[in-house]
Amino acid sequence: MVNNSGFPKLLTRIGIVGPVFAVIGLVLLLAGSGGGVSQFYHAWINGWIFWMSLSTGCFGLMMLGAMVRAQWVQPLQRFFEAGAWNYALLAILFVPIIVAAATNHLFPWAHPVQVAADPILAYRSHWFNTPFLTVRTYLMFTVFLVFIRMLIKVGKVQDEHPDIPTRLKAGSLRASIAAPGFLIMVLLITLGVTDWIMSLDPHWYSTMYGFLFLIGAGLAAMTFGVILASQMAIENEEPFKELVTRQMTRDWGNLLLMMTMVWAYFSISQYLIYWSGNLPEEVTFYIQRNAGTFAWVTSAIVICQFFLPFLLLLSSRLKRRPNMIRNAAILIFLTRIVEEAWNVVPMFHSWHGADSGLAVQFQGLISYLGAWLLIGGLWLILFTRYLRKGSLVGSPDPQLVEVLEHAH
Amino acid sequence: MDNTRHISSSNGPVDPAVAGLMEGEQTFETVSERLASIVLRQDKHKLPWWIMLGIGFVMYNLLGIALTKLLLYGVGIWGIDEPVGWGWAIINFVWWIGIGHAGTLISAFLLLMRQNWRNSINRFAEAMTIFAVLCAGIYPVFHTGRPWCAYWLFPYPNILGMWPGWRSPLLWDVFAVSTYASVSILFWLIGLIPDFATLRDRAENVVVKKTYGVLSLGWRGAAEHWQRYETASLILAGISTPLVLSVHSIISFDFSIGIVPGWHTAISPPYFVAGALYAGFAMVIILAVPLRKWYHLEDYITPKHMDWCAKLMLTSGLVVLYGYMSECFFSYLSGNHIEIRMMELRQFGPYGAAYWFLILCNGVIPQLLWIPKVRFHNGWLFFISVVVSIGMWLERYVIVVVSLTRDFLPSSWGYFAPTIWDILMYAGTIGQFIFLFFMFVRVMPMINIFEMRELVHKTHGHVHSSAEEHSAATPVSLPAQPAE
Repeated sequence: MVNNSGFPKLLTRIGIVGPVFAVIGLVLLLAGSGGGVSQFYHAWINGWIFWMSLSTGCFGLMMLGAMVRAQWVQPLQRFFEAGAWNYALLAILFVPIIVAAATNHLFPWAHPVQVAADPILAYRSHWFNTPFLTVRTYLMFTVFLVFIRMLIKVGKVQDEHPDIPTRLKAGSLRASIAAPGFLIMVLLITLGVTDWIMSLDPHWYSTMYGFLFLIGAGLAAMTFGVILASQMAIENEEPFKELVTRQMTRDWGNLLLMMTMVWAYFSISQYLIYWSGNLPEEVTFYIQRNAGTFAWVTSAIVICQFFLPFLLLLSSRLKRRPNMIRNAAILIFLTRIVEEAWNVVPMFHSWHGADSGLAVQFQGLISYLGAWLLIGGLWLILFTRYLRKGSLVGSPDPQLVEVLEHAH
Repeated sequence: MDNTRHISSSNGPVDPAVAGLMEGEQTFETVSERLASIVLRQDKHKLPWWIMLGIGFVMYNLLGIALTKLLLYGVGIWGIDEPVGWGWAIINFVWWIGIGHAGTLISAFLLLMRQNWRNSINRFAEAMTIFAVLCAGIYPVFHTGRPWCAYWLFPYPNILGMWPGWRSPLLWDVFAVSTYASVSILFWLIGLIPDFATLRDRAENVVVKKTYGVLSLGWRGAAEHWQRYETASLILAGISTPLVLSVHSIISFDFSIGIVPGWHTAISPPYFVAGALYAGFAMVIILAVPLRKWYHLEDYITPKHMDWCAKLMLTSGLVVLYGYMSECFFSYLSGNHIEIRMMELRQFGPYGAAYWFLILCNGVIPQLLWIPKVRFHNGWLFFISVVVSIGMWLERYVIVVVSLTRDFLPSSWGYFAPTIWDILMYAGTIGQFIFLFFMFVRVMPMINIFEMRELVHKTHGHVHSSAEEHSAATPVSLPAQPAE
């Protein structure tokens, strides 16, 4: 069992940065939303979706780790738990989105005039309406939090119990909880992103979107964990100094490589099918994002989230160096922030149109940054607070210990 | 000469990573003897082998009859007509290609992932892949109507001034499937070389010895040979792994690139790939259950292998189920009346029974695999795998037929029914598969002998050698022994 003697400097710094982010974010959000309350809500949902995707990724990887019981998850386990537990915060921060839906500021389906003029929106109103959306969302958060609580509780037994058979039993129980939990998460998140993101456009939908969101969320969480763990190893912090071995960074690198490839596979598949089909209700998604300012953003995402990481992570020599794996993870994590906004923001704006002057664009950017910082600041405060409560890393799976001892 | 290596049971605990992958008291000699004797001794092939070979042979002949009739009269003998131009030919093509995917996943992807449990099932799974691709390839070639012109699909410099339509995924298929077949065959044959050397060394009959000697390409088991073998294996595994994704993704594009309702859906590529693996793992289990019983291979294909295959089948099946749910949910939510009508037709139209039966086969019954006892019960595993195979065929049937019978022009709507020639050809390809597979079992080691010997080493830790290993085909991880 590994105990942390002192709280690492990096996490202490994050604990300080959190409130700073929150305060600056609030100021920027208010300043940027001067143009109207709709701008406030646009910025809010954009920021909320990013941090929700990070928590979703943490939740998914936490369950994946419980199922596969692999070595790579051990130094990251607590980060995933802390990130997933932040669903409780995100549930509270969802309230403004409900208010936005109820006051017709965010979703086209919530706007009576638009619904009356559009037969498709009228047809969808049985599913897309504020009360039903609220019930669905909070039901989903409740289910997720129950699963997270159970996994953390059983994980504690596994970590703290000295008796090997009990720890083995706890490990099996965690796997048994995680398997159906993972399945339920995939289904509910598909419904969730349909509500929160896809329904921002009156007509657009994609059967691939749930998968695309999930792999993006997984990438965000994995890179977030890798950045923290490898940076702490570089700073010679215990216990990461011992745990982040060459084998460990290589495993992380392979996982990140695989995940970027899967993301590229899903993305190119959706793009190719919609581009070839050339149907107005589908291809508009890409037309919006391949024109004006967004064309550059699209190209940057493809380069920074696929080509560059792919080339970097192919090299086994680079994967063995914690600083290189950290740098690759930072690149992907930053691109995740951009890609999430790339998904959400064009639903609201036509940035290249004649109606959006430079001042409007700048003010919009300030509000988006503000909401992102505000929600992120709160997220980071609770994240570090969770980590202060116990050991910083999970104990290795008892099965794994036997394998490693035997190998040595 | 004492040809055995004694394995001491006091060498410490068994590595849990390989625990349960081999049962019984095993030495290098017992592994070589038991697996090689299946090829070298006819008396190892009892009545079940003769029955399966006989069934395969008879059904294979049906293929010959069906193809002869087809060449004489053309594709009009099939049930295809306007508006259903694809029919059973494309359904069966997709079904067979899908089956092959599990073999590639086991042989290539699991090798890269360093999964030792693949060792005892990879050889026959690879054979399954190759024979399935052979069965699949027949359909599009004959479906062209002029199979003698099939080579026009390749971009060779021709004097007709014709050039294949690069924008069509049907052409991408030509490259995807031919690459897949070539790489799979190469991978399989290279993996067989050390085992051919073992057979060469153990054969008593001169002709058999010489035949395997030629096939083993001069393999002597030198360190240099093993080094090159490992490099070649890893390169081929690296090439094969993306093929698991690409081949069935391209097949999914055959459907989804166009705007035919029911086909044009973004989730198609991963959904088709998962479906392929689902059907493939079902076929691996269908083959493994009788093989281990008939040839007493329970020590090598253990309950742990069956459990892993079942888990992978369940996982891929859940992705497929997600695809069904996603298609259904978004069709009804879209508000697009064409999409809604298509989903209603699938569920409640003339082929509605097929849809609900496929949901039962692919979505409901396989959920039994969540129960550990079911995963360790051969009878249940075999039953569920057969059910999944039927379900996956029905899935392709529903996809192809329902969308084509109701296209954009109501005046051209129709109903599809197969003819006896569709059925005979399908039965014929099943016969071809059975016949080739049981011929393979007769002449090639169905379980990788040298990898199993390596597993002996890993399972029991250090091996004390009391004598020279007779065979030259010993893995490099063991102390190198001179060839005899």
